Amino acid sequence: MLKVEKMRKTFSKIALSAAVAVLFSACGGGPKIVIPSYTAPKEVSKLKKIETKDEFIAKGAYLAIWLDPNVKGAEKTNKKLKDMLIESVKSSITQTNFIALDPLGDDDSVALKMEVLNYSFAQKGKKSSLYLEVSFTLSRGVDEFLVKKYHYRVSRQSTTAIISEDELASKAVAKVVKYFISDISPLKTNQLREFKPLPDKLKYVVDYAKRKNYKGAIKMMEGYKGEKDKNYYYNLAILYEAQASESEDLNLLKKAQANYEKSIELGGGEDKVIMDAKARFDKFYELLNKTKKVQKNNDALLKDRNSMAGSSDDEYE
Amino acid sequence: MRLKNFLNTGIIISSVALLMGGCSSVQEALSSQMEVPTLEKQANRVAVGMMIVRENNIMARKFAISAEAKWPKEVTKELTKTEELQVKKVLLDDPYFSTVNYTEPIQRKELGSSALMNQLGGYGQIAATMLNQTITPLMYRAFYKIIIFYGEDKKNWPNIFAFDRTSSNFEEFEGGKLREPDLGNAQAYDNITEAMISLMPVNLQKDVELAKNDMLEAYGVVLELKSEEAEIETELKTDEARKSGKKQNITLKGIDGIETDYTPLTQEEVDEKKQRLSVLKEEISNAEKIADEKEQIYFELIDKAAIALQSDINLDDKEYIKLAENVNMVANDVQDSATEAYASFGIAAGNIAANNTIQNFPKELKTLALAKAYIPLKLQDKYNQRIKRLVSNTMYILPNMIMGTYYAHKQSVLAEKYADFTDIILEAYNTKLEQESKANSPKEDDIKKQEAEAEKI
Repeated sequence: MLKVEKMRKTFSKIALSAAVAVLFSACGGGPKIVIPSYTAPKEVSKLKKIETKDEFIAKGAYLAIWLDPNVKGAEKTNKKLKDMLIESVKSSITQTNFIALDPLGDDDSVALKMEVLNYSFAQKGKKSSLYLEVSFTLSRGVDEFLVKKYHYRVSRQSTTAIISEDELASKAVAKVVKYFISDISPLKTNQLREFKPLPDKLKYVVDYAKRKNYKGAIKMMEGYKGEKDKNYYYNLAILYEAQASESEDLNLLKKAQANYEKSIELGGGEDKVIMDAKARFDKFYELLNKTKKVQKNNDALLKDRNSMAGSSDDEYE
Repeated sequence: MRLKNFLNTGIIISSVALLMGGCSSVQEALSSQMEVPTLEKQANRVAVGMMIVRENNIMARKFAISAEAKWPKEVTKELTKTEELQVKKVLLDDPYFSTVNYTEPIQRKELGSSALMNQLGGYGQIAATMLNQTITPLMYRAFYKIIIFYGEDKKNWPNIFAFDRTSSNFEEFEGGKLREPDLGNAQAYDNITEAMISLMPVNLQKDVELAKNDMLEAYGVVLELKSEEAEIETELKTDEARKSGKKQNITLKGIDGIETDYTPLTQEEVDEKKQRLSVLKEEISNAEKIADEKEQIYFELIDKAAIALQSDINLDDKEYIKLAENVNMVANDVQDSATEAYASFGIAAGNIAANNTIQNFPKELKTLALAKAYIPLKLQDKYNQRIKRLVSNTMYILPNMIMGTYYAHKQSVLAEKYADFTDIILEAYNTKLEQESKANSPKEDDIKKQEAEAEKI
């Protein structure tokens, strides 16, 4: 009888441990928040070639391109294609203003030329598809220093949806332009950050962060008088990072970095969640620093161009 | 005591089935213990397992998908009573299901119940007859998917219960015309793999695509070898069964569709085949190593893409999110279904071993011949089709179980990767939604309470 009771208890313990394990594994870590971020441009080495130094305009180098309004091959395929390409480049590139659009092209400017290499539209029964291939060339004078070709096929399979050729063309244009712009400029994106466990007194911090009230959450954390371990500094770092990402404030980013480092000093270097977040933070830190620096110089260029045009037209900002 | 043994064995089989395949599999395991222990039932069970594997193949490789595709929801939902009735109606037209009620009483009388039910003695027969479930929950699910993939018109359906011995066709149904799903006004992808690759950061997509092709090629080599192995094993088993039938003086003459002129294998032939089997095992092991390596490369690239994805989640594009949702739903269903297929093969293998059904097959055929007299005239054609199918299918039970288990395992591992990858996108999206809804509608009381708490600290 005793043996049976012992077995029952052992079984209960095993079942309980299994339930706890399942519960934990199903939870998938601590609470999370999404923070804005930038993608890293792939052709970083070519960016040097886009830099222009003009001490009358800005103290440092600015990044700007002049957009050639003639799109070779566009007229022959779809009359709206040229405008679609130009508008799409403008909209993508001004997303971060990492590269400015210079309205005045001269021999010394960097020019972006586009050419439609292939275009075809087919519709048969349920299926419609549009294929587009475009080349993008960046040049300064006769030096064509970056030539990239991208293609995309938009496919649809439906009898219920109303699908027009122009709509498909616009989708294909958005794709190829995004491919190109992401090669030369950071684009806006998102990252996920996970909180480590917090002491009871700071239990509302996550709630604040979930409401995007990072300032309030930071205030609570900074006022905490209890023991501060690797998790504390890591949580504070992600809050600073979140606020910095929202406001693009470099000072907050520095504070985030300091807290990440403190967390690593206290043993965070052995924690996968902390190190993964730090690795992603480092990339963003470098990108935002660079973007902000360039944006300042680019703003000076745009002011100069506006004053030359004698108007307050800020179309290119 | 018998009842205790019965309950214990039943609980063990059900627990294994539950671990392997969940609720439907438990019901399948239990109902398998109520049935007459025939090889035909195991062949049908393997056919259902193969049907699941082949449906998985359709979901993973052959059925187009988009952000607006409705079929991922359809394959994952619970069936309504009307839908179950729809499946039942279809099955009652099948050669086996339309005649089984006429042959079952004679077979039960001649062959008894399963080994497990026999532990119950005389009561086992009664319980088994009462509880026997001709159409199991697994079958409902599997057949409903056929309607989703091939439409309601049976003319377009594949030959579901036919096994095929050629390696290239193990994962494919014989015949049938897949319907083209309506994908709405969203990018159409040939299959979930293409869709999943499109969700990856752009600069990684090409490498992943190449690694995927390498992996599929390596799988192909393994499958060809495994197919040969399975064929030889079948030949040896069939020979064993035929020889056993001869010993028992069971003649198969007079049963339509059965080839009775069988020349048994000589001892020399048996030895030769066994030798080839041992060589094949070595070759399979080497090919598997290569395939595993290719699979590892593919998976590592998916993992790399998953890490890159965490820094670049495109949450503002609704089409991107909806596509991730659909891929996730399908990947989870492929995983669940693969587990159900394992369970099907496992139950069939268990029943074949426990009830000596291969050795008893000649006797089983004889009982079917006896039962022919009870089949109504209008169903005689169906009966003949059933016998022909049975004789041809029993030859391929083993290869199908081996290949089916191999495919189900591969499908499950792959689908798990796809599910994990898309989970990242969906988790981020849900977190963002939660943040936005909280940020846009803060509960004032809560905020005040939190601020007061903050002040205290």
